[in-house]
Amino acid sequence: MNCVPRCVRSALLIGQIVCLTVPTTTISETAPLIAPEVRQLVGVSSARVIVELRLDQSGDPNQRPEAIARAQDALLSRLPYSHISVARRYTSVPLLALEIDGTALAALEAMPDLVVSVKPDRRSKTQ
Amino acid sequence: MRRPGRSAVYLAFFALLLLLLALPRATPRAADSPGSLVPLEVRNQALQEGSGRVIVELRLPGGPHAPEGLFSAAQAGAQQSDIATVQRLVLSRLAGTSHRLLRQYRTVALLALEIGPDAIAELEASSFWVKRVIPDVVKAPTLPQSVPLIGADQAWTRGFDGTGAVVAIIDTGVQSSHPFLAGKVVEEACFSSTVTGHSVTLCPNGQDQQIGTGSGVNCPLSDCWHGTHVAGTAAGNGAGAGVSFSGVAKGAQLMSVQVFSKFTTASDCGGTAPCVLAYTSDIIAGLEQVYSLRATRNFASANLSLGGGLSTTPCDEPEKSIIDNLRSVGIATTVAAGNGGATNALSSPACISSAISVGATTKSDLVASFSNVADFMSLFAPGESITSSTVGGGFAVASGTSMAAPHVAGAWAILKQAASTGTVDQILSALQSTGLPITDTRPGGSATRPRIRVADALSALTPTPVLTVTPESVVAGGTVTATWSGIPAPTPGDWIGLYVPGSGNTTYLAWIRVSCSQSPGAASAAGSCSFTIPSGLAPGSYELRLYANDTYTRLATSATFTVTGSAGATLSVSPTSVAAGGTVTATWSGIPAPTPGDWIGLYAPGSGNTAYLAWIRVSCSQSPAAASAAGSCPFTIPSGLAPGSYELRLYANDTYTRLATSNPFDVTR
Repeated sequence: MNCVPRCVRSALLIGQIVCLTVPTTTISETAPLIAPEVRQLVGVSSARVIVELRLDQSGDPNQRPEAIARAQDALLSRLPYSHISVARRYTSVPLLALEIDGTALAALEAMPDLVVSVKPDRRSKTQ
Repeated sequence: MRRPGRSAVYLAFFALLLLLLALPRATPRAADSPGSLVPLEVRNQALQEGSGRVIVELRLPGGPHAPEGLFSAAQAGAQQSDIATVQRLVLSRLAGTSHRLLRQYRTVALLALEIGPDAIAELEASSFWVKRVIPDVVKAPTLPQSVPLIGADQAWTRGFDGTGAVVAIIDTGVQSSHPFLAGKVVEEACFSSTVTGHSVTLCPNGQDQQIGTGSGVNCPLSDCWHGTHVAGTAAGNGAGAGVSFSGVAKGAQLMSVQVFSKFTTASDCGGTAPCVLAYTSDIIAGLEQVYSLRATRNFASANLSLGGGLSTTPCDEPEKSIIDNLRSVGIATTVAAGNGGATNALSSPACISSAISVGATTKSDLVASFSNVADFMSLFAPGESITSSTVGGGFAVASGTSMAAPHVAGAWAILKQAASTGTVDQILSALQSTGLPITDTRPGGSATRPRIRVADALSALTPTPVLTVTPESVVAGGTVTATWSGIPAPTPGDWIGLYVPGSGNTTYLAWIRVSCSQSPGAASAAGSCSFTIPSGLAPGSYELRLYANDTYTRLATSATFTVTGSAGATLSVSPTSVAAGGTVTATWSGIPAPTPGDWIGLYAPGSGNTAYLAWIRVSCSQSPAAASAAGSCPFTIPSGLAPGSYELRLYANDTYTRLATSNPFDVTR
């Protein structure tokens, strides 16, 4: 029974340490999903891709277009300028259509805080 | 582009040709078992009727026929020359047999013939240049069939044809000047990318993006008829085009978004170049343009008759986020399931869970042979042999899930008109719960999904208007109570008419608006009015009908009710004999709706209502005074009246609507 106050103190201390080491951001930063097809394509030449950006979903929905634009700008500012070209920007969905090479893909892959996935910009035909 | 080995093929072909021409006629080669070319139904028809109509598909020496749009002018000319040569050869083989040339085509390797049994035998022996023989079946244009099949015409008669709604067509562009689409295209945009070494933009301004009038025009390549066809199926209107059929939502407007680019290499095209393909990034931009206009246009749906790949499970493609955005504001994205014939997979983006994926059925409600199907597919719609508008101002028949998807896009416009606040979930649920279950019976198939029935979905989404009348029997001139409810989009112009059952909509006998008078008042989805039955109405069975907004669009019909003669009105005269110039007393009672204009006339029995000999109003003079349901008046018989039998008649309100006839009386000298 003597152990109780000491155990409680220990638990609180461990909890405090855990809380201090967990990042304060609410966004989980898992590694970007890179479609195998994209790796193949950039291994040969440049490729058109669609990059899905990570947004804080808890933000104000009315501020979403601004949040999307900020995320797009942040991503573009961290990419090697000469290895990408922007195909399309979007205002209502957190996407960017880019043409990238292997260097740019490596840079994207190193941005788990901003990039959810990189998928090929596929081509559809009439049905 | 050169067709490979052309000279060598020619030499071999003509050498063999000479050999074959030397063979005895109608001698089947070993490989040609009788019946392998000519279908049994044609044989039977020829035996029973002496001849049958067929389409003969020919083999060309340079290889299978290819669409001319893929050729240079010289290559197209070479193919036409091949076609003409083989046509001549086949016709020369048929010389001396019972046959008649119906049509000879210049750009396709076909001949239309009427053939007898001996000509059938000759064709059977000609498999070197005859690929197959197909019955020349009569095909009615299928848009006129598919629109009634899904019940869209029933929705029209209930007042819902998509008016006020906009369908966005994300495709190869739309010829907005086509008579079937005249005045319908209200928004246009183009997103088409130039990518060095791969693709060239097809936006009219030569840039990767163009917004505004003219930007959504059909692109200029051979495949670019597609968007105009799809648009016609969704919202074409035959009234301005001189055709008897229309698209599903004939009252809807369109937005044309051109998203295809010209691809210039065979490797990109998976075959012959050039071709048109659409980048996902451009499709997303097109859908985002629709989303950006949501506040200014009442979009019901955005249609994607395009796709690629196959997915056996719901997929998470990049288009999902914009499709989700559209869905969140009540706009459905209808997507073709794809034409791979898969029984457990859909193309992308149809595989996206928030898209409305659409497979194709035949007019017989079978799964079309080419349609992808999966158990997570949303809906079926007709997609085989659909006649719709094509570039150049005409009409063309096409098959594909591309043709099925706009049936659903148009249906959405109809349902959105009726249920303007309906969510995508609600409308999809209505379409799925009321659809006709279609099971995929193709080899490997098992999925059962609903084929849309628009009128039933409309009923499920909107309360059905109801009109009742009480009592069930009324005297002419009396009143009934008309009670209505469930008008889906009430207007001050909604009106109620009195009709003979089975009569046309324009033959009303009396009418009031839902304001309970003939003046417009407030709109009312439900209410009741007193309805006066005209006093002169012939006894019989009648009904009330509820019509929408000063039109003849009938919303509801009451049960029938009986109008009896003006039983309460009686007229008697006394005495029963009077000298000309004398006076009788006319006594009446029971006028159901008395007016100061009610009047009494002197008549020869059997004469017409207008042939009165003298008259007074119920005021006892020719001047109008107070109305009186009952009363009596002295009636002076004209002094010069010829002796004989006469009668008095009571008429309503200065009309010739007879309320009663007296007993006869004699006039003497």
